[in-house]
Amino acid sequence: MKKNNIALTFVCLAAIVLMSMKIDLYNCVYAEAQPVNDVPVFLRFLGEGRSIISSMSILQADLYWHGGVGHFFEEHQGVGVAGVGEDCEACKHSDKHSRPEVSPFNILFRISQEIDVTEHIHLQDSQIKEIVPWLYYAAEIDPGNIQAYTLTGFYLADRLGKVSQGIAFLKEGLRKNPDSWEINAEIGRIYFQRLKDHEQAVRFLSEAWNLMQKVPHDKFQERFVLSFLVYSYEGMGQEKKALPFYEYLNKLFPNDVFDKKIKRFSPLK
Amino acid sequence: MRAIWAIAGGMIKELIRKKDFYVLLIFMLVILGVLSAQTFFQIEGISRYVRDFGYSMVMLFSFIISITFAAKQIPVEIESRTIYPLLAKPLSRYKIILGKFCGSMAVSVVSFTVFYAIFISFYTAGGEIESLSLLGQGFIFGILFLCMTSAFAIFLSVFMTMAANVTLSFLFYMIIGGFSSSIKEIIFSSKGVVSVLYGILYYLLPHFEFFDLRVRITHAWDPLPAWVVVSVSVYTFVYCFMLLSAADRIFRRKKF
Repeated sequence: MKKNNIALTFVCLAAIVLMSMKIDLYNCVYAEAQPVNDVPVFLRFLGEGRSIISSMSILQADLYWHGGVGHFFEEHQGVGVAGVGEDCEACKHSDKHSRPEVSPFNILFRISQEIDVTEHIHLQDSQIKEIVPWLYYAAEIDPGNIQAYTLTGFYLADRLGKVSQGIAFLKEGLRKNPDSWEINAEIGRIYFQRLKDHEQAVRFLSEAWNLMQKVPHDKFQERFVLSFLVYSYEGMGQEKKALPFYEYLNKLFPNDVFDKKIKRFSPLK
Repeated sequence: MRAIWAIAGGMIKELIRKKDFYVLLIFMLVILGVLSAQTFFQIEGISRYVRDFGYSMVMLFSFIISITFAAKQIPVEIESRTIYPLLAKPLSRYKIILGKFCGSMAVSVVSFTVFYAIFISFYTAGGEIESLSLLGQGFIFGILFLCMTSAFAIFLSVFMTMAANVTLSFLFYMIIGGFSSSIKEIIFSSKGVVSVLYGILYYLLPHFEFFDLRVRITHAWDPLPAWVVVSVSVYTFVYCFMLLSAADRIFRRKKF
């Protein structure tokens, strides 16, 4: 009996040692995959909760974008997206949420309906800056939140005219997420659209294209990267390099524009 | 009347003596100071998130003061047996309830006014005031809100311990604040007897969400129409009267 107990204890100890080695190995791999050096100490205590808080911060930015009023996805169907300098009339759809009919004697419901703000608006011009703190905090809280970087970069460069700050912030994001094709693509797009720096645009968009091949993605994302890449090649006068991408784009989304470009650049092959 | 104000005066002295108010005040100043000092990408004039945090803190801190002061009054008097000299004064029981309510109200209003003044000073520092009347409505609604929470906590305090009272008040505040729109949707989507039952429940629950003007103040929406302000005021007074009457009834039946 005594011998059995000793054997059982020995087996348990051996199991604990083996398990702890496995756990330690797992922790090392996990820690390497998720560097936390850039995260402030007090945020590290939140663990994986950081990504939840970061996502909530982005949702808060969206709420601010709508003047503090929650909205349904369907409300954005068929609404145009205005770019910089474009008239944002398409965004001014101040439809009210469908309110149920309430009897005039149902006073509490009527008060509640009157107090709730339900108009659907988008921030205009100088008001857009109000969403920036939430996007900034989203990226600060969880440096792995790529959407926080790309959104901040977009609003800074395209909507607030802070192109250099936008690029700097995206590059900071790239330093923390070196494998992100999304951040590379966003930097490339800004270089192409805002700065007309085709060389830099090609550099980042090519990198985005390469990184993209390593992760699952859809054809719309491919179109996003490649369309800026081909225009950048054209801007640099390197139509020959753009040709295979035009052919690929034409395969994904057959249309006349790509067809014409292919016919024009084919003799260069 | 003098007896009621004597009780209320004692509670204001308690507010001055205790550290709760000062801790919350310093906490608010520090948070708002840090938030206001933040700059983002050299963009000037970002102010809405400071307003958002500021108004939320004003309401939450005033609520904390109001509930913790109102909830402990009667249970502490009973526990420490100081209720006996009060009743032997002689003070009628409704006067004790009314005195405790007025005292909690006075304490809450004093702290709310200080918090609100700080909020306004940060608001004006962040940019021009977009709507004075909306800020005025915010102040009125804040006081009405504290009136409601004080009456609610006094009502619970006649048959609950302080801890249970504070917990329940916080739960009500959070559930009603967060789920009132869901309750409304349930009422509209249900039919028949269920709809009627939900409707009764909706009328019975205290509507703390009526007093929340955070979205309007933060995002500079239009002020509320006058009839809504009047209706909410009337609703608050009626609800408080009912709560205090019920508290008085229960307190009268209590044997010491």
